[in-house]
Formats: sequence, structure tokens, C-alpha cells
Amino acid sequence: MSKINNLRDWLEFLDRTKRLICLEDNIALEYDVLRYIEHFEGKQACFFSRPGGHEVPIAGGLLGQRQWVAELLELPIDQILPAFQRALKAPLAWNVVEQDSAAVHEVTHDKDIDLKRILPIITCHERDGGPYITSGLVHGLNLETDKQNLSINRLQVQGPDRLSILMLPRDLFAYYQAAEKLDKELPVTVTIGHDPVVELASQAIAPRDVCELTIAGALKQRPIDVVKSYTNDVHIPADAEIAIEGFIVPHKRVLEGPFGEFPKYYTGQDLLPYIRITCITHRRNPIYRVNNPSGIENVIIGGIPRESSILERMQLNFPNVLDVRLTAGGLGRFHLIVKIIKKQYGEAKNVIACAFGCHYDIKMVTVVDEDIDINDSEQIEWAIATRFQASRDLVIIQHGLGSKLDPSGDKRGLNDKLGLDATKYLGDDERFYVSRIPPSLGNVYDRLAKDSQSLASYLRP
Amino acid sequence: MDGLTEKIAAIVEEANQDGAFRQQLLDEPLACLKARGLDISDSSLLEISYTAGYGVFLGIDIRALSDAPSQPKEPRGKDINSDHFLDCLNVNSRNGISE
Repeated sequence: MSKINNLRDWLEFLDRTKRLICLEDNIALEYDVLRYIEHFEGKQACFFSRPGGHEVPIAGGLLGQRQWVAELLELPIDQILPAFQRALKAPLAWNVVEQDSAAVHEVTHDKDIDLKRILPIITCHERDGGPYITSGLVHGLNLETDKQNLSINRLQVQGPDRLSILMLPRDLFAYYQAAEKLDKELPVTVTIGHDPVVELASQAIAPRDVCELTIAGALKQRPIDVVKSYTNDVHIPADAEIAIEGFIVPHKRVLEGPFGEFPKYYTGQDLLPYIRITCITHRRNPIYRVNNPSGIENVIIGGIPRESSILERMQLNFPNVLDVRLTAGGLGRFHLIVKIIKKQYGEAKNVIACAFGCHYDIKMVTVVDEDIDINDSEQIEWAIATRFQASRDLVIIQHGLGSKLDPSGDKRGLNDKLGLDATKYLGDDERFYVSRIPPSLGNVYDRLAKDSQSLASYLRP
Repeated sequence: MDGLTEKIAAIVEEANQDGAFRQQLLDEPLACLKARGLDISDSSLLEISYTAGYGVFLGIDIRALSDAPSQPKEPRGKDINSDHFLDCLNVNSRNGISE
């Protein structure tokens, strides 16, 4: 069973393994907190004890590398996706605990709610429309089925007890549309600060009404403890640091944005739904979690669960697909590498077509052979350099559905798709025989001299 | 931004910068919005407040607005399906088939 059960366990683990730094007090909530997180991300997590003089500390940069995720899950790095695939197939029901026993309910604010006084909410980028909660896990309740969904949505502070919410056309938005048809408010609770497994699971591409908390439970191989919110019927992780309870108001919209989104460009202003906050609860000494919206951590949290869903779907059609990777340069969304054992002529192009069907965000697919390490961008480029011919191996699909957040695409989301078959041409083994230095006995480090004396004595005999 | 979003952005910005206009908006929202080109029949379709440190909050029921988006981040104006159809007929300037 995992040793990491909440955000605190993970922070202590990062600290013990020298991957966490503590910052001085009074680092400004506007821009500076994120500047530090971005500077150190991938190498060190950051802990701000009194950010902007606020009593509630901030933690960020908590999943800086894929290897950290492997350690979190206590798995070899190449077993992360299979573990997600297994979890998607066999979600584990949550365990409900008493309201009074939940850590997230230790302190309650149900009158005169003032978001900025209670929480150190940061402003991320110079042109952002204001402070945003970037790591809020939104638990929504489907009024028709009584099932829940879990997603990460950007939330702009609009007032002391109002948050606007961006819902892309997925499950939570479908719940909201259904509630609007009934002229009812949609119950939601936003939780902040969790066992990072819960954050990862929130990004799984699960069927509607399969709550991602049950996928988190399967990943951890134990049910997630949940507790019912005080002012709505939404269940939330009992070990969360902070919970913001409320309802998404039907039909009404508020001005939202601009905001620097994950592709590192701004989305403009728009009219979005908003949450009417009814209660905020938290631990006695809560920790506020910040996620860099356009940083490495976002790539990892968004990328790994997507990869597992894409791999699962592709292997249904092509069992010879070995692995997939959404690259960091492609923001963990747009560029997919597929590793296959190629068996038939033209097969890589079918694999490319299949990949585009797995998720509309995917803009470029590169298919490589089994000898390529898909975590190594130099090896991928080498495969393209030596195994790819544009007139033979390039696939272009114009005007497919893509991400509306890709600024190079059509505003309606129409996007060109690019596929590269960078696999060896079948039947020409001799030309593609890779040169290598024959392996010798023993480890190269066995033959290192103790010092550089041989160089010094040769230069100055 | 479409015209409606721009209109609302301008109203909110002015209200945040000009205390007199803000007070007018809070006191007589329907008349004030109408003067800025937003004709809303019933104050129950609005939620307006001002909090120091946060600014003006202006929530509007989109059913009161004829050209408002019903879905966030969805295309508005032209019908996306008709565009796809035109793509198939090679009517659009850039069609969906590689030469």
C-alpha cells in the first residue's frame, strides 16, 4: 500500500529526497509566486510559508518529472501507463467517512465568505484578468444520475464568494447543460491540495459518470476516503486541504479572462458560468496548492492520463503498438509519439489515422520503431532524419477538429493534422542495419583511472 | 470577442474606474445598461454587486440577450457544420483535401 496518502506526505517525501525548497516570507501573490515555481520546476518543488504575508502557505511544482510520478505510484517508470490502463478498466468505489472526522472539515467558513482573505490566490501572468485558482479539482454532481465527475477547471476570482468557471465541452459541461434545462443550480465542490494521485486521476479520459476518484482508488489499490460536503450533496476527498462548496448558477454568465493558458498564449475575454460559493472548509493549518498553468507540471498531470487512454484505444486496433508519449514540447496534448513493431507495409499510416481519432487535441503523430526510446527527443529526431521521406511518409489532414486553445488554428477549432511515419522501410533490412560498437566485457566504469596523472605526466614529462 | 462580450467588458471596466458610473449602475442597473446598448427587461435577470478589492460583479442571464452564447468556448455566428459541408464541396478557399 502506498506511503503517500495526502499532500503533506508528498511534501515530506520531496523534502527528504532534497527536491523541495522553502522560500522566504512575503513573496508577492501577484506574479512572483509563479515566477519562483516556474524557475525551479522540474528540479525542485517550492514551499512558500507566508506568501504575500498570507497565513496560508503555498506549495507548487510538485510533479516536476515523469520519474517523480513513478516514485509516487511506487512503480518502474515504464509501468505508469499500464497501471493507468488497469485502473481505467477496474475503478475502485470510494469509502464514505463521517463529516466530522474529515480533515478537510476541521475549519468552516459559512458566513461573510471572503476568498482572498481565506486563501492566498495568485495572479499568474501580466495580462490575466485577475487572480485564478489553477489547481482546483471540481467535483460535479450529475442531477440526472446522482453520479459525480472530477475535473480541473480554471476558476477566476470574481467576487468574495463568486468564481467563474471554464468548462470545455466534456462531462461537467454536460452535467451543467442538463441542470440548466431543469432550471436548477449544479452542485459542485472545488477541492485544493491532495495526494497527487488524485490530481493525476482527475485527467483520465473516463466514461461519463465514472468518477475519477474511483480511478484514483484503483491506482492506489485502496478506496479513496470521501466525505459529503456540508452545503451540497457532493462527495470530496476527506484528506484534501481546502474545499470550496457551492453551485454553478444556471443561465447567468459573467465576464471572464484573459488568461495565459497551457499553450503559453492568452485566451481572450468571454462570458462564462459562475459558482455561487456557499461554504469554505479547510484543515486547521491548510496548504494552498498552485499548479503552473503553462508549466512542466501541467504537461505531466495532463499528459500521463491521456497517454494511458490513447494507448488503450490504439492497442484495441493495433496490438503491435507498444507505447505512446505526449511530448513536453507539444504541451502534453498536441504531439504524440507512437512506438510500434511494424509488421506490414503502410501500417504506420493506419496507426497515424487511429491516433487522430483517439483525441481531438492531437495535432502531430510520429510513429517510430521499437528500437527508439520515445522519452528521448534526440532519438526521435534521429528516426525522422534517417527513416522518413516526406513524399512517401508524410500524412496531412486539413481542417480536422483540434484544440481551440491552439492559436495557430482556426478560431472554430479547425486544425490541420500532421503525421510522420518514421519507421524503417520493410524489406530493406540491410540499409537500416544500425551501426554499433560491439559490446565488451564489463562496465566501462571499471576501467576508469583514479586520477588524471597520466595526462599531466604525458604533457609535462 | 464578439460584440456582446466587448460591450460588457467596456461597462465593467468603466464601472471599476469611475465611481459615479458604478453607483449609477448599482442604483439603476436596467436604465444604465440600456444606455450602453444592453436592453434587459427584468432585474431578476441580473446580479450586480461591488466589493472593494474585487471590483464590480455583473452576472447576466443569457436568455435576456438575443446574441449571447449558450455554450462557453463554442463557435458562434457561422454554423460549424455548414463549414464542414462546404469543405466537402471544396467551396471554401482552403479545402480539406491534399493535392
